[in-house]
Amino acid sequence: MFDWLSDSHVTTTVTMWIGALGTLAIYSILYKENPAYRLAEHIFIGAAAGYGIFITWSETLKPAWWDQITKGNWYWVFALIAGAMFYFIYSKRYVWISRIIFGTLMGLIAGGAFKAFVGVNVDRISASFKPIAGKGLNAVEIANNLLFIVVLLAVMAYFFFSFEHKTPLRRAPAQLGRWCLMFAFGAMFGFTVMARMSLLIGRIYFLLHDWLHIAR
Amino acid sequence: MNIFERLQHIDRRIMYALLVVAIAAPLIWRINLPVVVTPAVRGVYDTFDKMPADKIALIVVYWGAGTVAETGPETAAMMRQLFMQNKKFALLPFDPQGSKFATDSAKALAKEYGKKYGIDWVHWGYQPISNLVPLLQSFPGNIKGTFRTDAYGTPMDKIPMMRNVNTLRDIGVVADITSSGELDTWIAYVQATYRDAKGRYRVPMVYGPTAIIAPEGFNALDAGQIQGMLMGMKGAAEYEKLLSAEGFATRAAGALSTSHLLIVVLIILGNIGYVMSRRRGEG
Repeated sequence: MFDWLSDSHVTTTVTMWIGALGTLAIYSILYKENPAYRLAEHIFIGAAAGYGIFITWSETLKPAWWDQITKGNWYWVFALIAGAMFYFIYSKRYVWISRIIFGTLMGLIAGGAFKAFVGVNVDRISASFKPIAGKGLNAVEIANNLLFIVVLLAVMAYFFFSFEHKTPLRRAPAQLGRWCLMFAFGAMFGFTVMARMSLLIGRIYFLLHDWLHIAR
Repeated sequence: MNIFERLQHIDRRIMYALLVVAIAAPLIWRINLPVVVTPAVRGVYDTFDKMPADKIALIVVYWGAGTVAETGPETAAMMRQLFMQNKKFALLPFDPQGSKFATDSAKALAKEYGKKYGIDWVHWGYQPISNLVPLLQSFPGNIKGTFRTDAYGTPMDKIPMMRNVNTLRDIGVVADITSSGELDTWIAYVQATYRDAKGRYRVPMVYGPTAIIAPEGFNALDAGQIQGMLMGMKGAAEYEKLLSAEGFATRAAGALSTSHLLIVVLIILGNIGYVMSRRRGEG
């Protein structure tokens, strides 16, 4: 009945049409709410949930856990017991069992986070001490480093809340820091716009190039 | 409603239609605008360029179908440079979709450059992202003991290009291509943990994020924790220019510029409407 699906050309064409119609249906929300959008949305959510369950089993649980048990590594059963302990959070009487595993996990994560913080930030802090004089530095590098230091100090001044920013000496650096932050947020938003445009271009290119064959 | 009020209340559907036209026109009529290579992108190229031929590059793939327009060209461009320069690489995906996309891309490029699986490139197999930290603590000291087989079940010892690849010392570059923010984990557990006698990082690292998380990478770039960075599709287009190999990112660069131009024009128009309305006392 479905022999035609084994033909790779037919499969590609069918896949292409499903992709194109799905894309158009999802983007139709930009015009207004409509049944085509709702249908595509529900199909997407259902497919994503099913895909997630399948991938979790086929790519993680089966090779890393189930296959180990069936090969005779029986001690992997303890992973199931440890995992099941989380669900005791729903029992008032046995909630203490879940606390053991939650506590262990939180301890592991806290230790890892501390290591990550030190590993990442110590080098960044030391890299922020930039030279503004000395041999081997040209004028552009000195100006660049000076700008970096001024921005760094101004932004730190903005986040210094122990004194009220009343006098000009305290207010001016904080205001400069605020301006610097605004520039940074603007740049970040620019990157966000670029990311969204890139994804839209990807879908429009798919429609024009792969589906309609009108883009070069 | 006068002209200035109208400028502040342009129907969003008109803006969407203009956006589609601004993107579709350069794609259909192939309008290419100049692409300028930035130092961060050149850093990626130079890092791979300087990689010794007896080492392999590790290309980490943590992205899926949702960001393929940005991360797909980044991954392809990195693999292209390595194939062009007869250097070897291993794929390490943390996303099953990214694994499929990157593998398809590697196969197509291998065919183009006459490269073979197991000799010029290898797939270390999909790893769940929840396993990232234990993996980063394990594989730098013992790659074969950590992964055991490639993605197709072949023992690592039987893969020709993996014979002399045992520890992090045998990896020349780590490239993290991602739509998520796990760069700091790589820096903490690989870069900061494994240093040479002078305290320098043992393995250079380059970064290929989506544009939305690219700002986070500038701290690492400035601190020398990464040697180069691609910034989404724009970065991939610059990289393709360095390679003199036109790909999807180059074709899309014109559309990216025109769409940005449209948004800038719309922001200016909206602000003109706002300022003029206020001046007239209508705001």
